[in-house]
Amino acid sequence: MAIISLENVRKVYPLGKVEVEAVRGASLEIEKGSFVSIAGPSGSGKSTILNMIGLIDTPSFGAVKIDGHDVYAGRFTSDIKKKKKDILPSKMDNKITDLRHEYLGFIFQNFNLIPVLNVYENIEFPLLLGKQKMSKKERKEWIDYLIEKVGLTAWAHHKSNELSGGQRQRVAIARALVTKAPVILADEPTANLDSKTGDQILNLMKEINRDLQTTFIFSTHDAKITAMAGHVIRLLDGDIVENTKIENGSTNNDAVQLACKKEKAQAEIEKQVLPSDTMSKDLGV
Amino acid sequence: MKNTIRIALGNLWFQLISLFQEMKNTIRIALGNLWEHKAKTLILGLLVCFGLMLIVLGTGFLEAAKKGIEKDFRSHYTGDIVIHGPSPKKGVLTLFGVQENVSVGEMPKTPALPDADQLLSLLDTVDGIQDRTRLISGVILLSSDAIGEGFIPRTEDESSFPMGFFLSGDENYFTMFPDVKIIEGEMYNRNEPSLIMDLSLREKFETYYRIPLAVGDMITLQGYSSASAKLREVKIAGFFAHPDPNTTMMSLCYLDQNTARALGDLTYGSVYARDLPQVIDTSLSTMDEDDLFADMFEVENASILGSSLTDDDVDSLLGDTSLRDKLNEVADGAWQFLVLKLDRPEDAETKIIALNALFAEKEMNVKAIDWKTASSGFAMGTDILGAVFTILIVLLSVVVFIVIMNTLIISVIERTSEIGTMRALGAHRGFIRKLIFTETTCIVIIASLAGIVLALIISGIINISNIRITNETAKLFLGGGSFKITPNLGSTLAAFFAIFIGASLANLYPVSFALKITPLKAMNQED
Repeated sequence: MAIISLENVRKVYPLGKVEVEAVRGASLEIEKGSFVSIAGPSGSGKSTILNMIGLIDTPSFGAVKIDGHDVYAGRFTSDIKKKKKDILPSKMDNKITDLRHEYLGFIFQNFNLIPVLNVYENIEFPLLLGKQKMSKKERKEWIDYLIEKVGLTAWAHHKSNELSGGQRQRVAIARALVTKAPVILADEPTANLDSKTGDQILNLMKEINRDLQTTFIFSTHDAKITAMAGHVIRLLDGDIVENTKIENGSTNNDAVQLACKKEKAQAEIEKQVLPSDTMSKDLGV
Repeated sequence: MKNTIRIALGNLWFQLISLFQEMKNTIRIALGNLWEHKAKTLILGLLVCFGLMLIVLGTGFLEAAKKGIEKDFRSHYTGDIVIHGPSPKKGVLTLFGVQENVSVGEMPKTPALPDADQLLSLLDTVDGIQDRTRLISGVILLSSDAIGEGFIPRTEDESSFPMGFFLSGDENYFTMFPDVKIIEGEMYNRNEPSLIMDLSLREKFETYYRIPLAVGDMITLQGYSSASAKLREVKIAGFFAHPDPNTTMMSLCYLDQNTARALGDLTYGSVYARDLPQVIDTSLSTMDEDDLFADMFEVENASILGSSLTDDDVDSLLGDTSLRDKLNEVADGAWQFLVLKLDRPEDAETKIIALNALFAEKEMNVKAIDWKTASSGFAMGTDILGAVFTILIVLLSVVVFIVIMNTLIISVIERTSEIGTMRALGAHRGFIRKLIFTETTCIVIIASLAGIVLALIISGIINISNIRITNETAKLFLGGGSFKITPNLGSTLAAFFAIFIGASLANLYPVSFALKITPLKAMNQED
């Protein structure tokens, strides 16, 4: 059974008197343990889809199912938000929050660590919000394991502002894993990292995907992620134009190599172009 | 069954541990946030700290002033209960005249105590009365023949206008209120027109008239009420200082009963008017020659103006004046007030209710009042100051409320991403509400404690410094001659809870603002 499924999901944003359809009737299924890339150019609707999968945005129409739970059960944004402007009713909000906590972990582009907490506390935080019956000792052992897994044992008691971007994203990964959520959503997780750190982070996520059978869903521009993915969903103007699953679910090494080569070539071109650009500016052309 | 109970207890224990853990973490995050946003924390903390400090100091000062006045008046002037005669149609009858919004010259006359003997007999049957004394009082203006014809009064300082109060008690008065300190001369003689005067009244006289006053000097007293302006000449027997050096009671003299009755217009005519037959016209009996002729014209001049009128003609015009003369005589045994001291002063309020019920039952036209009503404007000064203080506190609270609310809103806006992240990670709205509430609570508790400690230190310093107040008007408003602050646990706790509730209310809008933050805001929107 699919861990996530979207059925004819549409998202309509009002823009003044006009309505803009960001996602037009998307239907897809994501298997447990898969490594999914939602790709597409800016404005294609990939973040909107990711947000709806992550239950942090409500669809205008259609069904979002998490592990078989029909989250909105036929009620849509227009109905739900009718009474209170832009706010979900408390009961529904609590239900969605609980589902999110139980099934979903998040990795943000900007890491979004809680600044007043240290690495250990940031990772521990989601555990304190839920109803997991985990003793203090079990909790500590589990967090220590995750910290070790993401390679931050020496940094466990440092605040987030004392960490590099890569280290912060590792904390975010550990935090996403801590509730043992079966699905991790990552919105451009490597966008704010240098390529080397980005590669390390991707490899870590791939390793976790393999070892813990955690489902990873990315919204990304990064060709490397798409190349590593076992399931690629490509969007264009709100429509799913490609929904490909690689049968064995393993990494397409050739595609990754190709993506890396393309990236290096692009960087070389930029290096060569930059001086002439600067010169042009200096000459006032 | 045993297993079920064990599981249930285990669950309960786990829930309690979880709750404690959650509380601990919420407080930890809240304190971390406060530390992270030091400037805002400091603004809120200082507002709460100084707000509470001002309230504690203000209420402590008012409390000290009120207690000081109450102790002074109950111990030295009003006793615990004052009983007076028929209430005036307008205004409130006090020990120092009828309080009404009129000038002193138009002040309604203080009525005599009717059925004084019956009243005393009745009070003999009432338990809990420790002591009692009868009293006459009023307002007087001082002058002297020594002033001379060409006197020009000093008008630049109205507070030195030689006006004051007089009290005259029965033989038990100074047994009941023994603490008057004669500092020059001796006690007045009950059987001749004489008085003792406090130093503030002497100073007023000397400042206004620019002549010194000494023991043995004769001065003229002019009594004031709407009915009459009586003039009596009396000898100064001595000068006294008030038993409480911080008293608000100023410009007072004690004088002999007969003079007091004359100044207080306690004539047979006015005292017994209701007992006289209807056929007797008492309209003239409330006026004697002083009233009729003193300020209008002289009889000698009238004979000149009226060409051929002789004294006999005048006498025949007035008819038989013997009854009027009698009615204009000072009524021996007439009193205006009965002052009581109780065995248990704290029971005064209930005793007043009981006495008034008793008077009503016996159809006696008298009324028992408490020290505060009897003390007139002397106790009102601190009440007025208290009201002004309350208004200031309310205004201050509104400003503080708005500042706290705005600061919290700014704080919430700045933490949009953090709050959104927490929501995305599984925090319910309740958690966010709890977190912001905990932050405010932490600030309020820490800053309030600091405010209370600061207030205690300041009040200690002020009390040790023994600041003296010399201005008489300031004395009235500040409750005496000494600036003291007695912080009160009850009002401090009340202030703390008021600030706590205010801060909680100031939370409402920022919290509702924070609850509108969705996890979506934590995501970096790209599309």
